Amino acid sequence: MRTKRRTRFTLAVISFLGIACAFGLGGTLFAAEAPASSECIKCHTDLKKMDRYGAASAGGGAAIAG
Amino acid sequence: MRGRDTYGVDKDYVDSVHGKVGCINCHKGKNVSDKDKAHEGLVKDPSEEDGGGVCRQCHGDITSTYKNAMHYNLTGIKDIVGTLISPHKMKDTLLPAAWKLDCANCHASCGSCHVAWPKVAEGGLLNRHHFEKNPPMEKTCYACHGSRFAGEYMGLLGPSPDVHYEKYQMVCTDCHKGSELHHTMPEGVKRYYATETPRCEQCHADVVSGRSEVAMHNAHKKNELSCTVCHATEYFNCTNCHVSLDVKEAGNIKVIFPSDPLSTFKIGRNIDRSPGNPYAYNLVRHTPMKKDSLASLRYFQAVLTGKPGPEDLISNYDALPTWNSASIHTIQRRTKQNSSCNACHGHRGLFLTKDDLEPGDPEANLKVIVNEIPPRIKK
Repeated sequence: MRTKRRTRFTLAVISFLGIACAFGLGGTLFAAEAPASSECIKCHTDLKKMDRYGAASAGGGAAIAG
Repeated sequence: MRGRDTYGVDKDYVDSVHGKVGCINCHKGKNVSDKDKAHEGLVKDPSEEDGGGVCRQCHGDITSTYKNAMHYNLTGIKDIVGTLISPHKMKDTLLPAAWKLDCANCHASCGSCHVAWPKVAEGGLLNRHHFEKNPPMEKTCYACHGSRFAGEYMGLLGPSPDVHYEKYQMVCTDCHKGSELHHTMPEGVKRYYATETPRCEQCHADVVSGRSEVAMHNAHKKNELSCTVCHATEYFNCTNCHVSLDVKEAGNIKVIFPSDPLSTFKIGRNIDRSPGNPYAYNLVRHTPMKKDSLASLRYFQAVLTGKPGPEDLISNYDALPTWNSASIHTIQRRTKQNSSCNACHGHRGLFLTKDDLEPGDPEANLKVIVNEIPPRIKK
């Protein structure tokens, strides 16, 4: 009876640790694999292109807060 | 350079701590080569929402206080407008819509100081998307505060720059630390009650009345005069600005041109004494407000909702003065008024008196005027 209870307890602990590890590892993997931004970078680090666009779109601002 | 670096991102940035997070993690959109598809669902300023947006994930200690800070929620302006229109309620007027269209442009997200120009200056990256721990004063602080504080401080307005800038090249954040700027303002608390406001004595401890080697400092009681009363030069002022368009009814549009900029110097009574601003006398500046400043909202409300707003929107105009304590940033060691006792004493023109008030000014201005000019000192 006692052996059975101990076995059940051991199994429960192992299952808990297993789930925790799986989720922990999954979380780490998920964090490490941020959505790729290669296409954004390709375009936005082309400074000549961006500057041409910026020069055309940036306007003057007004300082009004005092 | 303004406009040159609007959307260009430095290649080095991509490998920085923030760059490694990846564009899409903060700005959303899609990682595809088609421009329109790539920008679908794009969030221009991901730091905007609830005082921190995505920055909250790593900088929760700062964003938890910043969401209630003055630069984020502009409570000061909301409280003033709320008082002026009382007993009307903001929700019954177009003010919340006007707020979104105009006033809210002044509020600062994390990004509008640390990554880009503020919204009111129409954005654009500060430095190819690099995060600037100390925001560059001339692009960020000046972009919003250039018409008075920062403009005066840098000598772009008024007769001379502030000595702290001119002689020591100090920047705004040398006095106004992050802890002040990110600090939570308790609800209903005015600007000068902010507990983190910097005080001159923090650096100049030896000048306090009773402890100073300067006879003039000891001649005035502690907390009688703010430091600026003696050490500021003339400063910029406004009267009728913000009153440029007055539309009371369809077809009757009255254009009111802003008044000429005024360079003034006026000492007034401090009606908002607080631990951070304990002086009996302060320099005062005119708030650009008239009783009919927001009259056009009634007309627009009628057009937009079919029902005009309250006729007397600024019904509580007399409650607040239009001459208010000001933190003048034109400090000099020697000024005209501190050159001798009688350079100030007996000089009526240096003080805000009844003669400076205009017909229609709010009654509260009477609390700010100086009734008795300090007499000339004979000996």
